[in-house]
Amino acid sequence: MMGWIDQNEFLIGSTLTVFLLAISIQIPLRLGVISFASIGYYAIGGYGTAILMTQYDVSTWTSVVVASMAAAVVATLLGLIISRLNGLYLAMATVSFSLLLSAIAVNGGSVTGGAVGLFGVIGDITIWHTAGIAVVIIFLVSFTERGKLSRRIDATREDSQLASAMGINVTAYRRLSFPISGLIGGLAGALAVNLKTAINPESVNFTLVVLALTIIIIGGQASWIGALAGSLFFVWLPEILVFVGEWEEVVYGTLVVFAAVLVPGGVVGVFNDWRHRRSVARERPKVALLEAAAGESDAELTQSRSGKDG
Amino acid sequence: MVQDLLNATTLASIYVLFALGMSLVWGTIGILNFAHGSIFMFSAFIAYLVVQQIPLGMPAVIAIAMVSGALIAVAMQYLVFQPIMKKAKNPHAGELQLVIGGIGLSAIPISFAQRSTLSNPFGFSAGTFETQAYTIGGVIITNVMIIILIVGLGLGVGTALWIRNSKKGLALRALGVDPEVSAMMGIDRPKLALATMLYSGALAGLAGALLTYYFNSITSESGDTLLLKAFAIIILGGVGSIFGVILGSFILAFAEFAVLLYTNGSWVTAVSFGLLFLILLIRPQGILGKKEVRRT
Amino acid sequence: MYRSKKHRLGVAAVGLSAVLTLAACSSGDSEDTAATAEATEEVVVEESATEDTTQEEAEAAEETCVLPPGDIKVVSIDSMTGPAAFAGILAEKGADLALKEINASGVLGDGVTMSIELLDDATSPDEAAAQFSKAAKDPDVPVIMGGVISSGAVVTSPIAEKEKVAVVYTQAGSPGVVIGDYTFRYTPPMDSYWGGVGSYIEEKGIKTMSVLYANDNPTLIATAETALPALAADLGFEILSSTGLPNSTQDFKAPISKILKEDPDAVAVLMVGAQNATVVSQMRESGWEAPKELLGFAGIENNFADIGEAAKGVTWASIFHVDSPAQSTQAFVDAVAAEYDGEEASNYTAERYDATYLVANSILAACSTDRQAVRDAMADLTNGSITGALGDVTFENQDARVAGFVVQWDGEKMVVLK
Repeated sequence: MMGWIDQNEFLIGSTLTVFLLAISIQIPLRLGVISFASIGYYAIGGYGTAILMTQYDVSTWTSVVVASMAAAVVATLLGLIISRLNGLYLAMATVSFSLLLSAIAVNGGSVTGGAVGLFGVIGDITIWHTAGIAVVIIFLVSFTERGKLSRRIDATREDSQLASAMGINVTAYRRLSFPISGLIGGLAGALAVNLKTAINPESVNFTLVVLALTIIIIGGQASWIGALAGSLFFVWLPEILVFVGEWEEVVYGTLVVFAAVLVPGGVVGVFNDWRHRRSVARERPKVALLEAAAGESDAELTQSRSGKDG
Repeated sequence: MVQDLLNATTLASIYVLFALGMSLVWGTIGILNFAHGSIFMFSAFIAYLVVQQIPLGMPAVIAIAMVSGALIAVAMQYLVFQPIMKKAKNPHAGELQLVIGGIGLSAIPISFAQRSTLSNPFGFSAGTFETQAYTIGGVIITNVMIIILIVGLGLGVGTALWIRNSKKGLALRALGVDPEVSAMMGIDRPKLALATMLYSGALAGLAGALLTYYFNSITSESGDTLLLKAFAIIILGGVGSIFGVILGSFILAFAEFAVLLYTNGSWVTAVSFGLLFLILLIRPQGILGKKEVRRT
Repeated sequence: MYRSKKHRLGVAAVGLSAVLTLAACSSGDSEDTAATAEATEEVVVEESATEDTTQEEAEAAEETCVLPPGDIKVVSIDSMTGPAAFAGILAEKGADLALKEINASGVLGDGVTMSIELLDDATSPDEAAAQFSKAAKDPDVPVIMGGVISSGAVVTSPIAEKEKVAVVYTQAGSPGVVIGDYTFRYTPPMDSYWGGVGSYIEEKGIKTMSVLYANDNPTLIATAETALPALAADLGFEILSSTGLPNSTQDFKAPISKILKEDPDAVAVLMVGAQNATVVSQMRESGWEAPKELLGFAGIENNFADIGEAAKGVTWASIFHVDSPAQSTQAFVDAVAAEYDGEEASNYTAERYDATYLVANSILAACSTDRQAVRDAMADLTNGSITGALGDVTFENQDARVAGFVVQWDGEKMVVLK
């Protein structure tokens, strides 16, 4: 086991940092905010850590903390400026924010190392530290997935007008998601640069945006388990797909398409559905009536909602 | 100076050709098609494969690319986008699924082309068409430029007028404003959506062929580069506005030209993202967009 | 079983051309190593007398050595798919050819073979790093052949140093790749040999130059920002402007217009992929003809297929050319043609071929598959000059250097000027 962990240290480390990045995107997404700014936070965390460690000889952990905080501050500001936007418009604004940062990285001269980037970032973070941080974050995130808070979050996402009417401060919730997402995204970048010892503009470009998004959609949007499942799946996919060799990309594309068409709730969503169906089947005699009623009201709700949205 | 203006206008026409189909699809049937760049590239790639076997002229190459693009787009709509839209609980949930579906789709043709070309550039040099340069009053213009200018601007304006004035155009606009109500008014949404995708795919194929002639060669990844610029163009002009696409294309092309002419050029990538970010802050509905931002 | 000294001397000193001769005559023949090994012995013995032997190489093979029978597995990470596949696929042809020759010759010893486990990084730095890290942690892997992409190599080099395993890269021209005792590179960085066009610049009386380069490619940046200004200072020509463009640039009319106004004697085009074809053809359409000069760089020829005639006259420095007068290069070119249906050898194939021989010779010189011993032997071998497919190669801090050729595109192919 230890031997296996040792051999696959890099993959495990990648899985964890990609997972943190996915969580950073998932938090706003659960509130109905499609934000790609996490790639920008990741870049700030990564570059910040690399610059502090290699150019100012700051200790590893101080660099990680400072850079992640910087990402959180930038995220807060960003959240304030783009608070007017919604849906795909907000998504586009955050994509351009992230890509602007990568253009700055290319043009940053000796500070960012230009196209070559920064390398030789050798600190004392092991994958055990990273795993520990991931566990803490899972613990904190899981609180938002239970009880009253979880229902408020769901309401904010599913129908913000209804949520406001119910007395939920939608704007405050959405605004708050930015610094949290920023902090976690920055942390992901800071830990990733320690794992990889290098960072360059190529590693924070549109490809990463796409990867992080597919992870959440394929894994499932509703829970950290989905983000984890997606990260495991995509980071280890090349390992799994070794046998398909040069067809790897084709298989990848096909899988993503299938997932988008067939399993809108993500892999975790399918699992939950299945569990739900099984328990329903077991208690079918008892709940048959209830379920029929629920089905009807569901349909009504959907109809009224889409009418309003359209 | 005249030369620069002419060159920038040609670039703008190229952007129009690429972004037109994408904008139409997004503004009417609500699909932000991330695979548009792939359709563009792969149509040109199919034409390239044919030209390698049979030396054809420009009209035949363009026809092959347009038919390929239309077929690919229709297949995508039929197999992927339509099922996603049918399943979506609400338009908002479907939006993201559509983006992801497009991302997955786009990976497939790109990897086929990469494999086949080993990621080397490809072009139509095996065909019979020859680029000719003419000098008129000190200004150099090529036959490819003339074709791009006429086709790009002609199709842009033509499509805009058609959408504005024809009955089908009205139906499309209605779809963009309110899918449910327009369905009640008797608009056959799936059929119209399929037709729109067909047109958009043919435009992508046309753009692919003309660009390959203009740049002499493209690579498997060329479509992705244009995709990001097209986002900026469409939002700049206003989603749903075809005249907006023309305006957006001109703004982006001239802005990029200015940056390249008057600076050392390294910030040119930032132009499209910068413009996109700015317009979203100042006027999210775009320059020619309607006041209310739809599809939230 | 005891191996005679001549075998090792054969490979270490002349291995390349001697074994090559054999490969050229017997390719496609039986896989029977015993039979071919015997044949090699004769060839090697004959040729070793006629071949120039460098001091260091001969010394490396001084002692007798018996490697334990079995297969020596070397891990190679390369881009077989994705945007860098054009380089990776050609490179691995070189590795395969070298491996075939080495095993057919039996120089590693009786019952000793070498094999390469090839891992495709799909042109992704993360995949390269994951694979590399796994290989580096496997103590049975004596040495690793690194990937061709720079962004992957800067991540894998620190792993090699940390795990103390030697890695030989080809391509990967970025700074931060050759960083210590365990990292070697068999492709000379472009800025180290691009200056070869200096004689051409002088000959043509070029006094002013404008530069267009890809500002997101480390190798091209180094050439444009370091090698060219140094050359300009050296030869006394002036660089009028240096325009760094991102890889998303597709239309070059604007920078070309700027350059036409500056009216330089020559333009250096250092872009990536299709960009080179577009720049060159748009320059020609804008009336840029001789005596105005266009300068390129090694590898640019791969982008000229679609513009053919328009690229005629583009001149650059290359580390490899099929018409090189070096005997070792000619033997390699013939071997590639014989092995791959008359294919013309490329620089990517040549580098990896030579690198594979370096790996085999290091194991042989170390007479061990111990990592430290192999790395020390490799350091010894690269202290001197190595003759191979690239001709005579020397190393500066474990990083290859060659003289290079000045080549020109004649409309269909590149030809040697000098």
